[in-house]
Amino acid sequence: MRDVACAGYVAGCNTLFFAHDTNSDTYTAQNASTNMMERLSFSDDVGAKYASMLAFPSTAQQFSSGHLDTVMSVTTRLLPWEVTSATGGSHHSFPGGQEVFNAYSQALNLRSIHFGEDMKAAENQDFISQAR
Amino acid sequence: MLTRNSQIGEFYVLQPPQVDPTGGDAAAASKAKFTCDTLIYDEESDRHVRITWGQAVDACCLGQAGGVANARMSHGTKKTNDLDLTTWLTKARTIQSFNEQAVVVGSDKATTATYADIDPDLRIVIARPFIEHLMHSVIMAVSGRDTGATLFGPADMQLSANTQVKTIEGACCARAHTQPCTHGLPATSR
Repeated sequence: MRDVACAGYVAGCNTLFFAHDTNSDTYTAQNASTNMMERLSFSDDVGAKYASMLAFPSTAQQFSSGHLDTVMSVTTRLLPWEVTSATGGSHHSFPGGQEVFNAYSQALNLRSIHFGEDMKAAENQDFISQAR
Repeated sequence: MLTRNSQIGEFYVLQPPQVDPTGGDAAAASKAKFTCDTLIYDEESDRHVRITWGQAVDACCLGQAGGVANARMSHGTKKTNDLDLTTWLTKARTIQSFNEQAVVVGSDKATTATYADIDPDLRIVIARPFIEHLMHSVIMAVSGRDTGATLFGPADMQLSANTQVKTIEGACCARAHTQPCTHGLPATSR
């Protein structure tokens, strides 16, 4: 039934929190880190049930300041308009800002999230050599 | 057609009601229940699922041993302007008490919170960063000479690979018969 109703769907759009352990009904950062890596590596199977959601604290003032409106980054990569200096900018768009990002990055191991790029292919310029 | 897995992300924002749903009437306190919850679409089961404020607070993983360390937020609220994550958690639990109309551990209220007790500027961002679908790509082009033209005639096309810079170079030479210009272009354009 899943194949019929969700044709083309792979994963990531259900309403389970990464931090939630359904067996013990507890929420921990360790669960979030582990479940996120399992999801991104499809450690069980492509069709298995994986969690999808993260939650972060924020305030209305961060939204009204314009730092967080329609887009945010949960990886170490900054948004194009956040890169303002040679030494790198700050995660203004992350809920809570840079210091909160550092805390979550440490607890959830956000550094291990890939950017959706095949770095090896970019290094080898495969985007050119594969052109047909 | 090019077919490959593509990821997108999205986020939702939970907030407490911006006006008192009870109208300050203690007898109407039950109207406060579930006012901080949200419904999120579950694509796997094709239905909307209620996400409560309390679940979202728990999923923030604050105030736990080995969890997210205390840090200073970039923006405080208008009511207290306190930037501390620990304070944020306490205020979030107070909102949970208001939302569930029950006493909640971690709240700064020993009884059920009222609207006057909560900070309405708190927000919780729920992110779904790894939504993955099988995506198809197509190239669509405008018809007509603006896009390009197919030329008929003796043609010579040569391709060679430049292994040093990893590029493919091509050279094309075509002789074609085009229609004579029938509208008044300047002579230099002909």
